Amino acid sequence: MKEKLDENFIKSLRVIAKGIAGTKMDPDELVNGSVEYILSNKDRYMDHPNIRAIAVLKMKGLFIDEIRKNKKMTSIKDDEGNDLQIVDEKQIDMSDKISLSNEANKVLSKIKTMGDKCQEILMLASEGMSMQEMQQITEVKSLGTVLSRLSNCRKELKGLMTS
Amino acid sequence: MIDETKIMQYADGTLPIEERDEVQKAIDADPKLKELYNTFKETGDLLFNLSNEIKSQPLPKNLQEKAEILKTWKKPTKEEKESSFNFFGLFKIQYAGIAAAFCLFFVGGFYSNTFMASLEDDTSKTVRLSKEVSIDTNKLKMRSIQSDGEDLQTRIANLYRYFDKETFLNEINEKIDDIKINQEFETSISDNIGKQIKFIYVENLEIANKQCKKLEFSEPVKLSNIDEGTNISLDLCKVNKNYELTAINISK
Repeated sequence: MKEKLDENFIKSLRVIAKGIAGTKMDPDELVNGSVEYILSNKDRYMDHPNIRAIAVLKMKGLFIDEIRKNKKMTSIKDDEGNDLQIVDEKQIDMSDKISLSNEANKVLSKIKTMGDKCQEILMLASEGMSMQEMQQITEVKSLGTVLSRLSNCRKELKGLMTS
Repeated sequence: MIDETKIMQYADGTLPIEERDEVQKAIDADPKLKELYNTFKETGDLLFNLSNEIKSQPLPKNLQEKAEILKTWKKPTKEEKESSFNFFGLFKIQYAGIAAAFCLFFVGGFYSNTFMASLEDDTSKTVRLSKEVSIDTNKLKMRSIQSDGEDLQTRIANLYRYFDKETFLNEINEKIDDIKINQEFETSISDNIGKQIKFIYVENLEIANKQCKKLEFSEPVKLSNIDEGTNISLDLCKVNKNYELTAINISK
């Protein structure tokens, strides 16, 4: 899929970033970092056939880097030497900058309570990504796994919406 | 036993046509599968609406600036150089821009007159849109599946340019109550060799407490010069006394 590189491309990344960032960081920071990476590698990516997948994979990389960095910065040891996590409330607030309708807010808040894999695949699916694209981004071995993961996550979402 | 992922693909309109009958029969025969089907329909709509709402939000300034920079990257791709020709007597890039707006809910309209399509040849089942027509796309929503190597936005734009919604709805409203599920029927919409386009009444739906029906084009439609055939279905919901077009679903 050859993407048009414009505002809609970035808006699409914003949707997917919500599935990657969860409540742990600001999704727009991931989008910003990913687009900066693409801009700084213009010759490499300008004509890439699937630049959106590249951008999403970059967002995932940035997210992992950020989590690792925060873990180092914010964890302290308890008396037994185990890591104590300090939740950064400011960052959680930052992830909700977008004002949505009540229904969309409810859906998003339910998705945020789900596991990382579900959050990711549901937001990829919401953006109309093909199973092949989702397989590339989620890095699972088979299309069958992508299908069954998406199916299970949608059933879980339905359960959460009705609970 | 039908795999539940097949039910999901069927609900999303992405299941290959040749597998649909079997899945539909299984759903009809098993209330649990019907419930599963409704679950996938409902979550599909929830995710679609969520995505559209997020995308309808304005970009923060720093991302808007980056979007402007990305736009300057634009140069004609090989496809565009070859096809800005006149696939439908238009500049493709202009309508790709319009198509981008269609990824959200429709609030505006485009107008033309006829829907035209033709079979590529005697052996192909692909219908090729071929002559300029008109559309009015008020309040439509688009649900689509993308595929590699193809400009989805161009396909969407061409679909809307060549679909005469008003004619279609006028005719459909006259006959839809007499048509049975799985029945194939025609409207006055025809291709450029005079062959009438056929539709199939696939199923009844309930969307937002409204009585709705799903219709499919009986054959894949060629929506761009590199499109080998796109499956299209239409969701029609009853608003007051008439059915209105509420969604167009496209899939490979």
